Amino acid sequence: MTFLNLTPGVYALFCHYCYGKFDKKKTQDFSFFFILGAEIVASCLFLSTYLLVAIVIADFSRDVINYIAWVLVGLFIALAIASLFFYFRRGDGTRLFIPRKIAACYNAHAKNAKTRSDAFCLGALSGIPELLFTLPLYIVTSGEILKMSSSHPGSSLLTILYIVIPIIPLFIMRFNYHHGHNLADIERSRVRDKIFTRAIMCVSYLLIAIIIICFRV
Amino acid sequence: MEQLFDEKAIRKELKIDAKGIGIPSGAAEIFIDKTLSATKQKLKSKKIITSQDLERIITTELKKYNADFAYVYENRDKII
Repeated sequence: MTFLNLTPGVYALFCHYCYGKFDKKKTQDFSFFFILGAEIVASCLFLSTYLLVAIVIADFSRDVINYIAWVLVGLFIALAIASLFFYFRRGDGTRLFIPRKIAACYNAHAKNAKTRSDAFCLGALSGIPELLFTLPLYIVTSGEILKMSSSHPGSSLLTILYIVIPIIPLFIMRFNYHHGHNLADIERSRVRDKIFTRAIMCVSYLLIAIIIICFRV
Repeated sequence: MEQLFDEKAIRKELKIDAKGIGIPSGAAEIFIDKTLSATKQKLKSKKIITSQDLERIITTELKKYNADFAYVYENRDKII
């Protein structure tokens, strides 16, 4: 859930252009470095959020934490509404909420990537504009893992799981490309699932808000 | 003769798209040649051409040969 639609979209474009310009072996090599970049940034973001949340829980009183929890509830409700109405732009395709200049920049970089470092940097930067939607999820997950690890010490290992989960869609896409699927197939399925994606995002954000109200405030 | 559009750039872009979706290079060359010559014919009579006109005509022509190819060309700016 920590990569929503932007990173898979950039990855799909990147693979398409790589298959168009290079041989299969080089494309797979580049796509691995893209995933590596995305994974490293996701890990750094999650672990730094984890550290910040640990500091907040250790240093602040229960009242302050409650106040932060209410802010998060408001944020999740806002994100539920935003994901329903603003996450995808109106019209054909799967154009996202990000400014068009940034989208054009990603498109140009995906098209012009020629080295492993280009692929790595593109992967690393591809999730950043979506942080508005993903950072609250990092915060809540970190808080929950910290709470669980106080009663069950082994549960801090869940951080590893949460670091691995975001790249699963990228590996599925890599597998699909490797087995003959192309950008047209992937984009058609993304367009077909657009309403479902909106709905599931909205429901997920609302459920998290409700769970925070019921159990954590 | 005055050039109606940057044929070289479009040809390069179309070649990358064709290889990316797995069309064999020989077939891709034929599709691209036929598409671009038909596009030139259609644009000859027009005095003003917008980039949307050009894209629409190329997409319509590509649809005759390969649906995936046309779909990728049509939607390449609508993915993210």
